[in-house]
Amino acid sequence: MEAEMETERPSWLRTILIGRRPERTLVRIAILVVTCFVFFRFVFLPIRVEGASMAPTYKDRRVNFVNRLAYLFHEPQRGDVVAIRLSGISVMYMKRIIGLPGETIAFHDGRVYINGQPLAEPYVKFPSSWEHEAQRLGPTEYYFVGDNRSMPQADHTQGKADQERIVGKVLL
Amino acid sequence: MKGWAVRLILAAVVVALGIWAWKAFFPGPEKAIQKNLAQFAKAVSFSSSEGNLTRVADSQKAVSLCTTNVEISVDATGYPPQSLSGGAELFQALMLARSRLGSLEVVFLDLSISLAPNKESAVVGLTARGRSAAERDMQVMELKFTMRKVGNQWLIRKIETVKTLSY
Repeated sequence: MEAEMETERPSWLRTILIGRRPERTLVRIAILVVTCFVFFRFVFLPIRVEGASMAPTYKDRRVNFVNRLAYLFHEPQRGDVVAIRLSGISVMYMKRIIGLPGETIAFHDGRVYINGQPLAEPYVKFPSSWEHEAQRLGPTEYYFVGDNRSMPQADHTQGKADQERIVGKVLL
Repeated sequence: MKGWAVRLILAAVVVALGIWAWKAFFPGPEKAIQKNLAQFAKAVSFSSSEGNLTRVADSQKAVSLCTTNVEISVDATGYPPQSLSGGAELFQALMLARSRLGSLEVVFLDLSISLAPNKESAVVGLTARGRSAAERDMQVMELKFTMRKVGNQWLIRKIETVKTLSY
């Protein structure tokens, strides 16, 4: 009589795999999947660095994240390393902001000049002899460049782009 | 499960299958454009082991996906700007690329398609990613494709580089 009253206990393997209550486990998994999707799509976007344009600050093949909410309450700052979208976010440029809206940017003998004043760039470790005449940025334009100035200027993707192209700030 | 629930699920499955079949047999302009561009990316890609016949056939395939008066102007970082027009020039350029680069893999990502109101032309913005044996790093470029509807086919009329970062 007592044996009949005793409820059947799930096996330990089943308990480990799907828990004592499978319905609750399923709900937990669904919540976890949705949370991860939202978090890694709209908050911290995972990226992998490819190329040497940000060396030595960011090495090739290193994994990082883009904080998409970084500029929710303030504007991008000079020195920020950001992700810049192309036609979408599958592939993005990773560059440092050196010029802010309305400023004039020039390169002379490898040094950056903002409104005619030299910019201190402690993150640039390799010297260069880059030259570029002064250009004024529009009211919503920023100037982006990589930290690796040792590569030929023509091979280095850099330039101005509108603020709406900034996807977020690189986290690490 | 109750009978009505089973019938409801079956009805949903039938509706989903119907929608899928409709889209498969009567693809919209966006789908046709996507298909053309995927074929173009595949035709301009090649491996190091590609034979001479495949080389010619794939280059001709790429040309056949463009209008006869196709115009291409590409400005990639580290290279001088390149412009060409017409199918013959495109064919020559593709054959030259195949002989110079060991291999090339082109992928089109993040397509955004804007159809003209008359649905006879469209503008496609996309990111092209190319990896070749000749270069260590991949090339990434934002491109604008102008597409024309010729008969029942969507063909490439123009390819231009979009300067993501203007210098």
